[in-house]
Amino acid sequence: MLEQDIQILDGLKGEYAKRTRYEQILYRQYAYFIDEGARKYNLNNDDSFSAYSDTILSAIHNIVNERFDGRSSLKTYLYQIFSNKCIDLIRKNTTNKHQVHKTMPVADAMSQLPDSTRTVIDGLITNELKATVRKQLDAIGEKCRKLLLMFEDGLTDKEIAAILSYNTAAVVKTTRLRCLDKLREKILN
Amino acid sequence: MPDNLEYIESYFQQALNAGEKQAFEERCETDEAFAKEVAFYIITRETLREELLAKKQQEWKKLKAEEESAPVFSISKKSTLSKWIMYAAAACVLLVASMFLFEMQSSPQRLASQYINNIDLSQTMDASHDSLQLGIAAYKNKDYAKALGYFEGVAKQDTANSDAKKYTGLTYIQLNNYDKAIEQFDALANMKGLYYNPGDFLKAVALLKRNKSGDEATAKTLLQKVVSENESEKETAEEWLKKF
Repeated sequence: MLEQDIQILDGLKGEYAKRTRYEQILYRQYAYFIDEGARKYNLNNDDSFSAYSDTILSAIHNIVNERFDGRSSLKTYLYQIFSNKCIDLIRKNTTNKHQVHKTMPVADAMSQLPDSTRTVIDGLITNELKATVRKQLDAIGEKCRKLLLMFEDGLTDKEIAAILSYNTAAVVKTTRLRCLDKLREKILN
Repeated sequence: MPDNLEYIESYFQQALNAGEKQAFEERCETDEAFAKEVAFYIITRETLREELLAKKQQEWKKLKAEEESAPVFSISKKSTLSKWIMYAAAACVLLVASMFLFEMQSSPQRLASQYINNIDLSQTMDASHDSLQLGIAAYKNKDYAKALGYFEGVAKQDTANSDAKKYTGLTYIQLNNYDKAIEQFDALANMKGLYYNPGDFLKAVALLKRNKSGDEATAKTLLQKVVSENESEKETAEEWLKKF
């Protein structure tokens, strides 16, 4: 693996401030993909940028969660994700013209479910539900929202406790799950 | 039912064993209320992810705008054939010129000078650290006194910052203060746990530049150490040793 890749991977797995710096370094390193995506997949610049930033976020998530095995270079790995995101985007743009009520499959979490379970869950996920979640997320309070976003950003409960001055990681976990429960009650009850 | 949410979270964090996982999946298919909670969990995570992405995109758009407004530092791929041809021609000229210079300048001191002149600080730069950024900008503008102020400031505030030590040392070389540069690279070489630590190699460079009696021999020993201990910049050290 390239020295540069090793440094980036190490930085992304570091503490929060360091990780934020290395996210920007990673973003800058392969930002030329945006032009390539626009050219190769005939996307407009905004869509290509969107696919690239989605790529960076997914890659960071995988790296932080030890799901990048390092068998390819970071560039190859990112380009594979980026190509898939570009193709997904083209498909999404085409599909949306025909499907109004169904949302697109939720890639990351859904892919963990076996086919039969996925079919059941997929049947329950609609654009209406998504719109309600989005609306209610605004109503659960800034503190909850921030906590959930930090967790989504890949921070552990321990890291969140240190940044937001909670006593322990366990307190963060309890608070976070209560926030989710609050949201769930607003939506499902 | 926070317990259910914790259970659902454990599944998606792959914290359940095979039996628990199978039970979870079966419950999704047979218990509609539970399946709705799973759907809620997934859609909430996805919505949060979209929000997070939008937030990051705003930050990255700023970076993009900064790079576009400073084309000198940006590296982008051009798409037109004519630009490629122009670049290829320029690369050929540079290649021929560099081969010529390489043949002409192969003494250890010249190798060290070439290395220092060709070094690109942006390769390992810290993108959001203002002082380091300002230092790098000053270094690139050949304002070494100003760069030194920034780098030493960061090194003093954050003694574990290896980049600050490296840049301080490189700046001292540019200022012909080789003793101070060697101090910095010594300190860098002694830092443990870095994946990339060119401390010994850069110390050899500084010694070659200083070129006092015995410096070349010490530099050679250091380069041999870089090779034998598989340290950073090993390939360059091997090349140089062949030319000694």
